[in-house]
Amino acid sequence: MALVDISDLTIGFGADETKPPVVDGVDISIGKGEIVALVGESGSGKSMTALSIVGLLPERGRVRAGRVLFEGEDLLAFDEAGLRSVRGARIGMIFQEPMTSLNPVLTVGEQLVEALIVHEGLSKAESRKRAVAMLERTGIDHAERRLRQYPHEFSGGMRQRVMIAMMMALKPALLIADEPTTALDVTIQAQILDLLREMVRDLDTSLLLITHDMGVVAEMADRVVVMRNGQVVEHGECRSIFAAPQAEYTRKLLAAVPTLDDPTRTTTAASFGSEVLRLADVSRSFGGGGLFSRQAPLKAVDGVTLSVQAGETLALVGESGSGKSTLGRLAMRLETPDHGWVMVSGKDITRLSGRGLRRMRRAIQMIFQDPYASLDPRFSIGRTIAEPMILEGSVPRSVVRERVGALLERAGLSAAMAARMPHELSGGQRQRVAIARALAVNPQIIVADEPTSALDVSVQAKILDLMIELQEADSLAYLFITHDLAVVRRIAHRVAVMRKGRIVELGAAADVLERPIHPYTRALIAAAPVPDPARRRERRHGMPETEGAAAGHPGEWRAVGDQHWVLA
Amino acid sequence: MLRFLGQRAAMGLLTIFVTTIAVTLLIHLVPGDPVEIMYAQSQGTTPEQLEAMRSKLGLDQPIPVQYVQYIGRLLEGDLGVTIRGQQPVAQLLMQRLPNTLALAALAMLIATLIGVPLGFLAAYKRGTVLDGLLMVTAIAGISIPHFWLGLLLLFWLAVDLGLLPVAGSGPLNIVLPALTLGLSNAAIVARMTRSAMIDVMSQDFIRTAHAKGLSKGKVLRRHVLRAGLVPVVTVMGLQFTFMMGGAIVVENIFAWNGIGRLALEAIFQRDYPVIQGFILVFATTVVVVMLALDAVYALLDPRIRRS
Repeated sequence: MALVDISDLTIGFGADETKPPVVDGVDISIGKGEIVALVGESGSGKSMTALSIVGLLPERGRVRAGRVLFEGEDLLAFDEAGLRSVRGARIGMIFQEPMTSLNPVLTVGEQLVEALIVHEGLSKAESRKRAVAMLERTGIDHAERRLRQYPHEFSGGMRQRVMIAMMMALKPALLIADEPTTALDVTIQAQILDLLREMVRDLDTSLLLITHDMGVVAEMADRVVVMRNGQVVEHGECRSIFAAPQAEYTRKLLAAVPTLDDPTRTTTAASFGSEVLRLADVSRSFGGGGLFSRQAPLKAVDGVTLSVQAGETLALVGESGSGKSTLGRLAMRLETPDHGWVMVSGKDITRLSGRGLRRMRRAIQMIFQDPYASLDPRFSIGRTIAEPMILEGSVPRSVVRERVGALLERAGLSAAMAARMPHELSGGQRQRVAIARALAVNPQIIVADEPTSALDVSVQAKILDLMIELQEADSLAYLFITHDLAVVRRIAHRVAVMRKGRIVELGAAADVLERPIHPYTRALIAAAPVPDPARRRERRHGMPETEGAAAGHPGEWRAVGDQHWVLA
Repeated sequence: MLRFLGQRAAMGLLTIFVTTIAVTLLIHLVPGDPVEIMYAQSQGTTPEQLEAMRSKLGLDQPIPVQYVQYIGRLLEGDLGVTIRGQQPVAQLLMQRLPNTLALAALAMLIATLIGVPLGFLAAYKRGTVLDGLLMVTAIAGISIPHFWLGLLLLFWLAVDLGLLPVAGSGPLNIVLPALTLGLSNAAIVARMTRSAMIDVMSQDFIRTAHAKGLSKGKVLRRHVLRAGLVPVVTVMGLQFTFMMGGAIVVENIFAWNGIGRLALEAIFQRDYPVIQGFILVFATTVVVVMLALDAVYALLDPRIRRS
């Protein structure tokens, strides 16, 4: 008998049963020790399904029908006290945001022992011992001392380890992991996935892994359940789903996933136009130097030299804290470099300010990661796009209206959308609006900071296609900032890999991705999950501490191929 | 944490320093000649007397000189003497300050003991009739001015029921003014507590706590309350300063001998040294209280304590 047997589960919001449900007649079964991936895009109902298992639906969520059999008992029939005895003890749960999933005002130790004390009635000392053992098991050093620390003293990956230790300490029969690695860097993601797999195997725990990332699915799952609009569209063995997807939606989903096998965009430096952006030896530090500060300033960007030509996409790749976003802001002159200079279309903008700087910003525009936050919620779409033109002042109103319509159409929307408000649009539509706004002043280069990271894969693919199309029509240049190597492959001509404020490797996309030289680039590529279960491999742990990137050591550039350099 | 408190202490000193400048200038901000205004009601003052007063107060000197002299005297603990009665201002203020502090502290205690539990209860019962009732009461509490609430309590508890003395300075006399001040602030504290707790209840780590199988009560006590108190304490600092301001009104209603009452008398009599001294002592008290609350804040929030 399966450990978990969900049948005909239907969940809606509010008491009104005539409203369409968010989860609609879902059947899922999970065997003992099995890893089942629940896949779907945002709004597919996958998280609601998982939360209903432990009775933690959001306030207005109601189960309208169905059964959730767990070890033969229907959890939906349990009262609060009954559910409480299951939660934590028999079913553990970890969430996406390791930064907010732990209580900031309690020590990690206090939070680790809570469940042990409640469920097993252990004494303080005994539960502490168990907590230490568990932390050590998840790969946290100095566990004894770590227990007395607070969550803010841990990195994102470490917090997720704490969460895993906390939820696995009671050896639950089922662990539900809701996007456990989505907020983490790829190299950390690889380590956390390894840890999860190892822990559930050793403790014979079943794992329900909720994710939108087909790469993660391929790396982890025994079986896959694909959800869309609250319904299961396909389920089966992981390998067979990847090899021969049956449902139309699964096929589309898999096709949209960028893989590391896709061909890179091939071009030679000669085919691009003139240089539109040049950063020469730019550095920027933060912190330090304050009246009371005794900390050394943090070098976010440290002596970076780059150039981008018309019609070219330079991808800037790195993990969080690598300085890639700061570099993008320096290019826009949203930050002023401490050293070095910034040139846009051959003009030095390093020391420009006021009107001169604003005039130069017509040539360089920016698209941000979060399409929800980057549009003013009180501006209509038309007004948002028209604003840069109106600020320019020279364009008459009637022409502005016409051009807004034309821009919307170029961005793949209809001109009629100008009257809409941002909240009426989907994430992908909003990002199209952001692109239309950037194009409004006819820039030569767009700095795109993770423009597709907040989007579902199918939407992401369409946005990338749009960006490529616009580039080819107008020889637009992109400085494309991302952490996702598969996205790089789809859009980049050249790649610059950034780590700790420095560029460690630079070259044509095909060279860097297929013949990486720098150990960090290699580690990044090795850590990226491959959406193909047939090629699942045991991962390499850890991150090489590279000599060249070590603090204080400037390193030297070495040419390793045609237009391919490595910091050594 | 020491660095954090050091920064706050430095900011506090700066505040007091700016206050001394304001206090020196104060006398010149009043339209007309301050000494003439002082003597406006006393008949038959000779120009010589006015001149003597002017030089006694140092008003015949240039303003920067006045300021330096003022600071010099201040460092010796000399706040001047009252114009009527020639008593040392510092001594007078120090006699009255403990009464005001006792009143504000007791009021704060009442506000906290009533406001925090009720706010917490309202947050827990969010959306229910009880929550609505509590919040309507709170809004009413905020809207009622001190002097009106004070008079109501006075009539009811002191005049009708005769439970408490109407006015004076015995130990029981503090109850009515403290209750007046405390009740209207309890309403503000309750509202703050409610919104802080509701904010915490929707945080991810509360979901984690539930996922561990902790009971509702345990989640509330261990996770919600501790985390939710951090912003509440911040507001209480501001609250205390409002309370000091409110004390001026309430002290006068109940004839409570605090510095607020002294200040009001001084204002009516245009006794500038007393007004100046009052403002300085008031500002210093607020700075000290805020500093103490910063320390409490740091103790509650490890993110500050450990940095």
